Amino acid sequence: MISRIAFRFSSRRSALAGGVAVLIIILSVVLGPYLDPHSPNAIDHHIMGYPQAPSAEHLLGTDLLGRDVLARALSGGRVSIAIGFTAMLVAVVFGTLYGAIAGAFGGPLDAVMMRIVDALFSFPTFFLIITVEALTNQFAVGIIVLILGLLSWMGVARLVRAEVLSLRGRDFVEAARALGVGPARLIARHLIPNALAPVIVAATLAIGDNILAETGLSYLGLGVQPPTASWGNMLQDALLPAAREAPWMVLTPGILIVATLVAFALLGDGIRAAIDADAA
Amino acid sequence: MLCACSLAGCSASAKQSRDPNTLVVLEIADADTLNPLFANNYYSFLYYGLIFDGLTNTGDNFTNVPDLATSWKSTPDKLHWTVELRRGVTWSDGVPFTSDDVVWTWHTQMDPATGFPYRGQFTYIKSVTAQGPYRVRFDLSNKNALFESQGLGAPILPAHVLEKIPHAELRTSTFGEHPIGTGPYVLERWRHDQDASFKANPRWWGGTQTVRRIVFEVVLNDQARNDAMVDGDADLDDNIPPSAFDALKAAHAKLQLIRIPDTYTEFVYVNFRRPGLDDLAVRQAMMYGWDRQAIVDGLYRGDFALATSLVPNGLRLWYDPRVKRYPYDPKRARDILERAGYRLGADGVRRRGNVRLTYTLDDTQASGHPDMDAAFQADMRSIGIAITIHTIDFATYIDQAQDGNFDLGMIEWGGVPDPDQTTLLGCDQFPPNGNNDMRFCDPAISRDVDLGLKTLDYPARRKIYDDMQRRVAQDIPVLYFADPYFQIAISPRVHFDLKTVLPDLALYRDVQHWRLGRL
Amino acid sequence: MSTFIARRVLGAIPLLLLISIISYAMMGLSPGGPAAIFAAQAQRMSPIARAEFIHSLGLDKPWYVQYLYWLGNLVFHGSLGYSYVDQRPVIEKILEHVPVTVEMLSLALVATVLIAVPIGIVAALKRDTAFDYVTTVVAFASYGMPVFWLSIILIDLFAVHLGWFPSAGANSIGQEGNPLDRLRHLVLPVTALTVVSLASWIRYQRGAMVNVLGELYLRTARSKGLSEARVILHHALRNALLPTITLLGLSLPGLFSGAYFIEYVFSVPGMGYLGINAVFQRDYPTVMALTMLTAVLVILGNLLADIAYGIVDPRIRYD
Repeated sequence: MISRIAFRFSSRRSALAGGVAVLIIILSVVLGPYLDPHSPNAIDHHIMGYPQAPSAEHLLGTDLLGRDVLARALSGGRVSIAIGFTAMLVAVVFGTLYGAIAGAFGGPLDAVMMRIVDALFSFPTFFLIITVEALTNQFAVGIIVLILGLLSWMGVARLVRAEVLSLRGRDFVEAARALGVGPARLIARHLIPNALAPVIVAATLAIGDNILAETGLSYLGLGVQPPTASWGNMLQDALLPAAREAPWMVLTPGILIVATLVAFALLGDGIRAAIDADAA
Repeated sequence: MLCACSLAGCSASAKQSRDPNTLVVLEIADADTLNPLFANNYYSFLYYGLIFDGLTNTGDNFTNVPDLATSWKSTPDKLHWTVELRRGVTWSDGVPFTSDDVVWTWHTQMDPATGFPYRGQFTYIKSVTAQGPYRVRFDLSNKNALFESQGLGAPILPAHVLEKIPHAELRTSTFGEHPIGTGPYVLERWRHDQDASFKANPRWWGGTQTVRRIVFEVVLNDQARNDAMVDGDADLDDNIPPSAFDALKAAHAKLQLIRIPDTYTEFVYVNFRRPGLDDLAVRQAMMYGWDRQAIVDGLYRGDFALATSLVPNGLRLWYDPRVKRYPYDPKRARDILERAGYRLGADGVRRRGNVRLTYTLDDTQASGHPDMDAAFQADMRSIGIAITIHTIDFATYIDQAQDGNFDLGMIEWGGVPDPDQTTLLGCDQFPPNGNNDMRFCDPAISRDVDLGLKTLDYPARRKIYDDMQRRVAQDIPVLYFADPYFQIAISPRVHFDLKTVLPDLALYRDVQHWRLGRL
Repeated sequence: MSTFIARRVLGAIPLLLLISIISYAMMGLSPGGPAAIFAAQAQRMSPIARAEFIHSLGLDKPWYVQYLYWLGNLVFHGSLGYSYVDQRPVIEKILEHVPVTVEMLSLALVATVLIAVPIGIVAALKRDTAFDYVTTVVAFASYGMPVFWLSIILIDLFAVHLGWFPSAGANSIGQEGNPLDRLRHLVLPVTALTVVSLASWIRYQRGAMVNVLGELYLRTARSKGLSEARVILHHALRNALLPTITLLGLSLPGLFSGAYFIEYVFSVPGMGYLGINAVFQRDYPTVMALTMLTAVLVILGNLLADIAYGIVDPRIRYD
């Protein structure tokens, strides 16, 4: 089954393009320090407040503190993508378990669990952010990941539950039950693996969503803290009045975010198309 | 309601259709309530200042001039003041103004049941009594240097409108939306978070207002405000952000751009209960090691002046430049730390015994601060102090500062044209009694601020605050950063005496007499 | 069907109760409090007065006691309370800010549907052609843009450099009654909102259309005499529009949240602005009112979507 999906995936040009783009982006940010020797945090007092246009010395120019924009974009990319990916893992793991349990047991348990999900959809998420922040009294990147994961698991839960509900009626589940397979094993060994297809697609999109969410947090000042660069806080910096004369500051993080999201989305879309064609 | 002109045509005619006798002012946020008993944001103070008068008003150089009072005198011990009230003043609904209004306003303000937020500032006022319809007597329990400005300057409310309402219910009355005052303007229309317009009060006692209407437009972003000034859609923007001055001048050469020292100052709170921060050597090193001038010249394009103590440059009558300074000298900073026994560890952070110089800097979400904080952080790193930045929202910040749950905190402070700093520096002002979140105590400084508040004679008071500034610059209870300038852009058609311009709310003290030229 | 609706509505009540309790708890347990409103003028408000203020609003009581007061006020007096910031009735503040937001968001929704549905359908019809690939990439790109970044770029391009549209505000100064002026001011924010919403609608519509077409190809292969175009127009379209209705129902809650960035950047203070400021100022009554409003809309949206499905697809039975 996997090889068939892989074959179908690689015969779609857009999916391949997405996959290749994702690889290139990830490689660039990981290899960042080797691609650009400038330190992303080196502040230059002499040019503070006067961003420099791109030059041979600084390929993408400098920002308001004289820091090299390319170096920051690469290290910021590491941070943003890592945040996006890890938060997605948190959301997917928790959401899958939750949704599978709700879908598998059905009945009143399912009703209660999904009502809780509905409730969480309407919350003022900002309170969640500051409560977690205050309770841990730290502002590490890990907290941001936790927060973003906490905000996005509900969608995955709904998805998995819907899949599991439709799977329940299938023959192989009846067979497993008839053989006396207990609920935990049923969920873990049979339901979840078969429900994974839409989850994988949702996961690739979730990476992008979380990167966008981090930019939103940074806009309010509550994202990744200085001096660590992230695409979100680079964007926040770029929107200051003093930075408006520096288009390289505004365009760099924005274009990188868009490109990354398109890449992940094409990848996810390709996986979906490859899997869907396989499903009966 | 149909507009027959094209889209482009509509905008051109918008300018011509603007009323030339209306002053249009741009603001970045809206007022909350126009009831002086409960207002607690800057824009509320601004708006209600147009509607209400105090017994005194602000004059040139922050002196106190007659407003609803024509004269006032005190006994030699400065504890008993007699105020003569102006006759012939009526409220905007026609009812005459008398001493009853003054007495009612003060009794209500001082009643805890009302919930007046600034009640604690006036606890030295023992009683307020009427002596006939045009004279009021204030009896104080202590002398207070702020009485004539803040006490006598407090807005007076109409007793006849409000006296039937129990004090505890004043908070939810509609007076804040439909205020009645004695001032030069009345509220015409208020669309929350969008605009507020005030028209000339026909019953005003002060003569004719040359500015017939004032409209405040709430415009949240800087670019839009710039556009409005450049296009001539607005007459005044009193909030030009740092580094936007030059761009504005370049875009419209005829705009009057004014920059004057303001009464605010920015500094870093230091928590004296944290090991290391209570050591003067560490604080001195932080001051020498922090290149504040580069931040001011670069990030803020010169829109700030370096602070030297807690009295801002803008308080011309009080500011003393002859205090200890801390020019940027990282080598000196490192020497101080070395001599005090703080040695560099392998991780580049200094330690002495089990005191490690690593601290968190709390900051609020103010625009541009991440860069300022990153610069501070880098400077500290180079002298061996590790700083982690922690941006939080304002409510959390205040909570943590009051609880002593912080290391360092960046804050803006001031806005009062007086050097009084009792609540910040007094030894008896540790939270919850006051705002001495640093929990800093120097008896000599505490004595200075207490005495300064009770001294009314300017030369004597000046000497006390000179001493305070000298000691404060020496002791570094907070890390002084810089004093922002008050920057405004004014359309060329607006005329008033630029030589006597005062910052903030005082800018508008005689707005009714400004002259407006043609559009 | 009616029993289904009745059950859902009844079931919504404990849900709303749960939401309100958890919301109030989160606010009560998080750091900072409404007294910070006064702290902006900190050096002037004395701690005595701060303590009195906290007491007068009942904020010195534990959060569950405050919650019961709030609930009692809502249930027995039908009142959403008074804002801590300016002591005005919360309902008044909400009603003031609703028109701006609803105007902007409904225009954006209409524009999004009008653009996305045809594109999605055509992309499905022309599956795997260049048109499909290009629209896919463009759709993802538009979804990937941070909305405030896009807004700033739109402002810089169309307002500052080209001068075609105003850069902010709901009206030009002095032009409040003028609908054409209002429209001009709406163009850029609505464009920004539309662009970022397009992607999910296009993809959703395309996906639904593809599914329906998959079934139809089998059917038409067996039938005779019906032209392709008629089949598509009459049958496929109707079934493919179903998910769109669902998305419409689920978009209802979006009408009242998340528009903050646009409202801030374009200076059109609406529900998003009110909400975010209420949260920062710890204005509990306003935050609770907005939370409950969003919750009601979520439930309503879900219910409408499910009803639509039940009506249109006879295979679905709810009982």
